[in-house]
Amino acid sequence: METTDDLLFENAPVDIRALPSSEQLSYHKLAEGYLWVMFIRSNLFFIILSLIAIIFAIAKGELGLTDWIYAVGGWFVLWILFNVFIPLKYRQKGYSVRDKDIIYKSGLFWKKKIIIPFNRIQHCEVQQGPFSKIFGLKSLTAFTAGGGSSDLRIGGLPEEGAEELKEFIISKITSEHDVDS
Amino acid sequence: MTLTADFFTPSRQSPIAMLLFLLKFLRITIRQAWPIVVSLVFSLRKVAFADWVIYVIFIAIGVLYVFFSVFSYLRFRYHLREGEIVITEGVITRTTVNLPFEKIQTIDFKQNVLQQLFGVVELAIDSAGSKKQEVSLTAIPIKRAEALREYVLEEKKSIIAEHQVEEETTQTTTSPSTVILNLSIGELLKVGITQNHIKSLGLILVFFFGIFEQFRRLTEETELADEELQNTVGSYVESTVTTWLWVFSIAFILVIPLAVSLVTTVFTYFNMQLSLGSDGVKLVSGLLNKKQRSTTLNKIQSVGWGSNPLQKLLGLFTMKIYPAAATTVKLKNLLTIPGSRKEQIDKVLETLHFKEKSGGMREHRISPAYYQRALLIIGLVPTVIIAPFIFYFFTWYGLLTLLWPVFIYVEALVEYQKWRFYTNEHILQTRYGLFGIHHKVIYWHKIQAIKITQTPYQKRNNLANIVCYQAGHQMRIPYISLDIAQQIEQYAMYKIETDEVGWM
Repeated sequence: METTDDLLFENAPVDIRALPSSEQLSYHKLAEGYLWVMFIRSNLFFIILSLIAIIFAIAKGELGLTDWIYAVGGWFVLWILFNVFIPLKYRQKGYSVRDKDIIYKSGLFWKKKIIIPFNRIQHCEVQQGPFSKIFGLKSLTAFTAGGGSSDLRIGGLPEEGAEELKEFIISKITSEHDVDS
Repeated sequence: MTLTADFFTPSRQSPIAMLLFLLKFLRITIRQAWPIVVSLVFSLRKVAFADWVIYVIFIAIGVLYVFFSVFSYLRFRYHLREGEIVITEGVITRTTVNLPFEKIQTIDFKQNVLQQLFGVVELAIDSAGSKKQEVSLTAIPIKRAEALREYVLEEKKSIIAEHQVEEETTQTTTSPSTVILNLSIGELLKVGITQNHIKSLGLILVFFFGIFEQFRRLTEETELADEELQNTVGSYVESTVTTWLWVFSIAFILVIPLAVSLVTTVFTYFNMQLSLGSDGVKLVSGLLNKKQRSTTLNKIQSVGWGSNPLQKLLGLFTMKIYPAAATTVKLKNLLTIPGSRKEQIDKVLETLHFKEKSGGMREHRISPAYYQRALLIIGLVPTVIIAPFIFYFFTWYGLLTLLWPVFIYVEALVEYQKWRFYTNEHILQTRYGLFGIHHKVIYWHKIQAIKITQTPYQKRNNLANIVCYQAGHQMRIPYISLDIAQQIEQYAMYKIETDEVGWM
């Protein structure tokens, strides 16, 4: 980061390094309840997996007590490991709303950051899954014309916060004078 | 144009929607799950279960469907609000979709027999967005649907007209569309011969292996009975069969893919005509299925061109023009123009103003970590894990696995050496390839969104991958320094956010 010259090209119309960077931003954390939603969701998956394993084990038969102890012990260790990462993953998720764009970052080991300018958002969706409902949370998805993997989805927003953010984005979309079609 | 007030309060569709939903669910299930259902019925029959179990399952599923259809209907509400259509739907997960009028591309009516019978239409609203680009209202009375469409399109026009007033004065004079490429039979044959035959070979192999598998399964069942017969004739058959097999497979690998590529090329690109003008690009081609694809100039998101070594020898390129498209119809809209020469590519680039704006491009390379990591992660790690097993089962033949990392290394190294990207204040351009070289060029302001990803290794070494999303097209650049990735992101955002031309 020590270099001062513009890497992209000479005689840039603007000082690129002076443009707002998404690196030094402070990100909003997701609502705390969302951590529980993540726990429930992941553990539900784990429970289903465990049930399948148990059914297979019983169907196979011939398992002694020690086998069961080892299996359950191993499974337990796996379960702990599995859950340890959830709060860590949760902590990496965050979003930031700037004057002209919105950014979402996530990923504990594999980092991901997506950034969408308001004048490229096609429309916005607020959703509520069954678990989020328990904790009074909603998720917001901003769609661009860039296709599925470029959509920005923020899970775990407080209900009214999600609606407010959506209204805010929609007001931004309509105020931007972008002419298409 | 005014509408009655009930358009502006959330309202349900015509109750006939319930029946239509039910039929839709059934149709999807039958299409997706009939093999499961059939096998379930048969396997349950075999297990001495009473027939009633099957009936109970079917009735339960039926009840569930009715339940879902009724609730889909009850929870589906639509209304108009200042400048947008709002739709709420979803049985388990409640979803609200807002479609601003100016984003709506088309509103189509569809009617199947049932809908005709009940005087309702399906309203398909295409908004050029991504996932929800097709919102559809299943059952709206015709009169209501017509009023709705007229109102929305009128409103849309007036919104856009407001924006466009100042633009019309700057519009350039129109130039008539001229044919810039007309593929002759000779050129067509050249294109056919220089196609990527490995792809055709793959297609053929997949096809034949499919048949072979079927055949083998059939023969296996009768095999036990034939075993004695085979023992006597076997040795004779084997020797002649193997020689023929060799001859046949060589012919297969050399000749058939060539023939297949030739035939498919002739069929798809026969009498191909590319015309270009200020109103857009038009591509007509095809022998039996005559296809016409066209796009307006401002809809074009990206232009790509490239050639494999054979084509390069003949000075031929395949040009690709990517018009804005919702992802689902991406391939349908793409204009592929094989047999282009440098001059046609230049003409297209010129028309789109890429040429005049390509001054002062700076060249960048990707990090050598690209091939080093490929060697390690795709090449060495799997080999180390799998090689002992292969060696155990196949003894010294297993050593052939060791060629895998070599192959990966060479491939990734070549890719690394060819990878370049170029930037200037208007344009982002890439150059990449394994056997040949491919180019792609986009305008900064036609980007929709940017994604930066980092693997743990890249995080430690300040490297990143970047994806620039466009409507129906993506430009990816792997293994660049985080610093430059951020500059790309910042500059792209600046260009998009100050953009006044629009991406379409």
